[in-house]
Amino acid sequence: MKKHFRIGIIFGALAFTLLLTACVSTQKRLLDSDSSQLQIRSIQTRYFDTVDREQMLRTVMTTLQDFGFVLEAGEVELGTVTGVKWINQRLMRITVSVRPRGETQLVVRANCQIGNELVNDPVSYQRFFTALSKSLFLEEHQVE
Amino acid sequence: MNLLWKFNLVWGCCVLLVIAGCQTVPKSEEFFQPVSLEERSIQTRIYPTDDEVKILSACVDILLDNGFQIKEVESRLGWIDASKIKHIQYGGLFGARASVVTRHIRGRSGAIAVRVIFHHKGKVKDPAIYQEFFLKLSQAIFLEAQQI
Repeated sequence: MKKHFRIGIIFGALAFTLLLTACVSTQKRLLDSDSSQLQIRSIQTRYFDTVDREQMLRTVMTTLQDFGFVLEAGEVELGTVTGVKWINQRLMRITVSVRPRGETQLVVRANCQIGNELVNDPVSYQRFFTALSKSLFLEEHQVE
Repeated sequence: MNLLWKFNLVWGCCVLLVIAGCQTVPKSEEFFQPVSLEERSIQTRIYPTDDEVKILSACVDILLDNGFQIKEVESRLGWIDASKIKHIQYGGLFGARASVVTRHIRGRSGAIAVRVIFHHKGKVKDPAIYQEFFLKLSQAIFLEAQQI
C-alpha cells in the first residue's frame, strides 16, 4: 500500500513539473513569430507623401470595402481600421494603421491574419497597397 | 468480431483524416479580390449635400427604424456599424449586419457618396434591398430639409 502511495506521489510530482515546464515554454513563445520582425514589417508597410491622416483612413476604409471586407473597428486618434471577411469558411482579419512619418509623410501598415495564422505572403500585401495607391491617386486627381 | 470492429475503426479514422485534409485552404489570390463595379454601384448613391453628419444621422435613424442596433459610429471617418438579431419561429435566430461609409467627393462640392453593405448569411446582393434603403434615406433627408 505504502509503495503504491510513493509511486503515486512520484508520478504526481513529475506531472506537476511537466506542467510547469509547459507553462514556461508557452510564455516564452508569446512574442514568437515565424518570420523575422524586420521582414514582416517591410512587407506590411508603405510610405505615402501626404499628411492628411483622416483622408488616408477614409481611403483605407473605401479600399477595404472594395475588397469585400466588413468594417469592424475604426479610430481616428489611434489611426487604425479593422475589417473582416470570410473566405472558404475561414475568417480573414485585416488591421490597417496610419501614422505620421516626419512632416511630409504617412506610414501605412497592414496586418492580415487568416484564422490564427499571420499572412506573410508579400504579393497579398502588394495587391492591397496597389489598390490603396490607386484610390488615393483617383481622389487626388478628382476622378470618380 | 472484435477484430473486424477494430479494423473498421481504423479505416473510419483514416477516412475522417482524409476528409479533414481536403478542407480547402484559401489561396492568397483570394485575399484581395475586388468586388465587381456592378456590385459597387448597387451599394452606392451620391447625395447633393455637404452635411455629412446629417446623412449619418439619417442613416442611423433608418437602421434603428428597421430593427438594427448601432454597434459603432465614427463621424470623423463617416462610418456606422449596425447589427440586427431577431428571434424567429421555432426558436431560430435571424442575424443581419449593415456597414455604412460616407465620404465627400473631392472636386464636387456639395456631394457626398453613401455606401452601404448588408450581410445576412453572406453578402446581400439583391439590388431591391439597397434601393429600399436609399429610397428611405432620400425621403429622410428631404423630410429633414423640409423640417417635417
